[in-house]
Amino acid sequence: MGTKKSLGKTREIKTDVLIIGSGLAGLRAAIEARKYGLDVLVLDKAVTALNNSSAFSGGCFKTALPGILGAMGRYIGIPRSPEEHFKATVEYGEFLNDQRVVETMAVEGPARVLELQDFGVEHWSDLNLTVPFPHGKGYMKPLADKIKALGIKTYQRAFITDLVRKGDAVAGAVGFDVFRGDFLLFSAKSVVLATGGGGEIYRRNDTPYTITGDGFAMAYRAGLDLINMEITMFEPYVQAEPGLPMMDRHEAEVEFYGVLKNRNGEDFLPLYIPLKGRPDERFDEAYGTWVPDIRERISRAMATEVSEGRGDRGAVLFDLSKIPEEKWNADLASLYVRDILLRGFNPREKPVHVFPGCICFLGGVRINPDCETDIRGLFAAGEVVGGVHGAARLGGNALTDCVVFGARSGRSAAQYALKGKMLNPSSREIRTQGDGLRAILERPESPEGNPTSVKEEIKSLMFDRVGILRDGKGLETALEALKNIQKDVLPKLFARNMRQLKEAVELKNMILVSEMVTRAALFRTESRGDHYRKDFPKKDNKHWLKHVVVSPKGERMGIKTQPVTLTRLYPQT
Amino acid sequence: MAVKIVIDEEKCTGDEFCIDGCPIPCYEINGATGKAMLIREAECLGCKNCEDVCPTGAIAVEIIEERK
Repeated sequence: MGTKKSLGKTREIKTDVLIIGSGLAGLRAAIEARKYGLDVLVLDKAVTALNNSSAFSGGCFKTALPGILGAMGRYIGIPRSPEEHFKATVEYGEFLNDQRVVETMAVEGPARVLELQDFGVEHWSDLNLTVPFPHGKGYMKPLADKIKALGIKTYQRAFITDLVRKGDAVAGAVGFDVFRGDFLLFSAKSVVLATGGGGEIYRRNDTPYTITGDGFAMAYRAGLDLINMEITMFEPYVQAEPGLPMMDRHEAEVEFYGVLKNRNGEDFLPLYIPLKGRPDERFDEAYGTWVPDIRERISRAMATEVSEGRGDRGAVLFDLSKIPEEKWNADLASLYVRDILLRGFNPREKPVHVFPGCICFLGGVRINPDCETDIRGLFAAGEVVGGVHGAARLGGNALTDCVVFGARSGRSAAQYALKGKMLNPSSREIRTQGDGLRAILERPESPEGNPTSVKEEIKSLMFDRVGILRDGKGLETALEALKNIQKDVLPKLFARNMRQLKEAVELKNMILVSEMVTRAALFRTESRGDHYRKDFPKKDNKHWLKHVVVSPKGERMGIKTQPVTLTRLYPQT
Repeated sequence: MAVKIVIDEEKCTGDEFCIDGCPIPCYEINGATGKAMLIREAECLGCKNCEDVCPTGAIAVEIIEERK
């Protein structure tokens, strides 16, 4: 056994509805499409349901279910009505959201969250307290059982390299079996893209290693517009302690009592975020809001301390020394911090290093409320989509987004498949794809073409230059470096086996996504939400209440703006 | 160490599901034995995905409580 060393025989697989990605959006899409009695196939490049951002999320859904979701509400805040949810999402997104899409999420959210019970999800009312880490498994495991029971087919370790088009419609997708080595050709009447985000382009992130932006890259290569790719979100309290996991658990009760300090021992957060109470109180009492709803402001404060020379080994210090024992025992998330994240480290003796890491992308493929893209028969849902959350995302909205638009994309894909027909992908296009993969496998080894080392270079470049604090000079330097990598390194990229081939293609995708983020960040000369430019620190509604759009223009990456859909909420200034 | 991972080499068939199930990934296949081995145990998040996805039940993850 072991990973194959060369591309094997071609396997052709036909289905009515093809779903690429098995996170929450993908599984929810599958359930909905299956209701129409169609053949539904869910692909994942890793394993079904468990190795994606949904599974490793904090496990909270923000939606208007007051009085029901008690425990979750304490943590994320429950909107009293869909209207309040709509308004809060748009205001927090600084009006960069498509308001038609937000309204859909706010109105349908309660029903989509409640019905999780029908799919076998227990403890849905207080997931963050009763399901041990990772909380997301509390719904992903039952959903994986559910899709099996419904007769939905799955294919694990099917790595899709590209979508296949025929004219203005989608015909399927191509890729390979990461373990067996077969070249895979999927033909489908409709396709749902639910591949998640791209947190892996950053050296620091708290996403699984699978989150390499493949969906953004294949959508772009298929000719789609991507909006707001510059909006990448950073979670503040991600551990930066050598030898300990790079992960956070901001929902842990214990973390709400920790104090962020710089190398001089100063509690710096009140210099950036006005105190509403005393600094030693629980975070929500001290600052009048929970952490998940002001993550970018905390991240920016931490990054500023480090960039101005008050950091310690490139991070800041999180003082947990004064926290009483009962807080450590308050909930499963706190026990998790103690037993797993801080294993062997005594936070009573010294503070733990923390520094932000990328948690998600808020930009991506443009959709309408029916999850249609600009390619007929291709639908998209979940983090691969842009424009739902705008420039910053409220805590708990990511999962609500996944269930609402997961269901909608599945319904749209099924309805399309019922009327549509199978298109045969052109054999020339398929051959070109196969030849491209074989070329990487047949290329000689070279130090500069090693995907593992190039990946580390990209991740550092992106985190240091296109991360939390950005400026024109740094962004231009990053763009130049990316161009050099594309010119000098990509043609030398090699792989010795199929697993390395997957890594090589992921790296190509990461480089492309990095270019999108960098170009869009350079283009948007203002600061808004998670996009912060030191050289343009103010929000500029006069010029920038617009989406930044990247799309292929021949060999180059085109960039332009597009109006934001404002239906009934408008900024005050 | 509060996370203890035991791989039963007798049961491991080298099918690499641990690599695909782990978010880090902490696993690699040992070229000499063809069996799973741990390469980044310190970064293990204790999610037990490896235990869940291993088709032959060759992996056991134990979380040991710590006292601070």
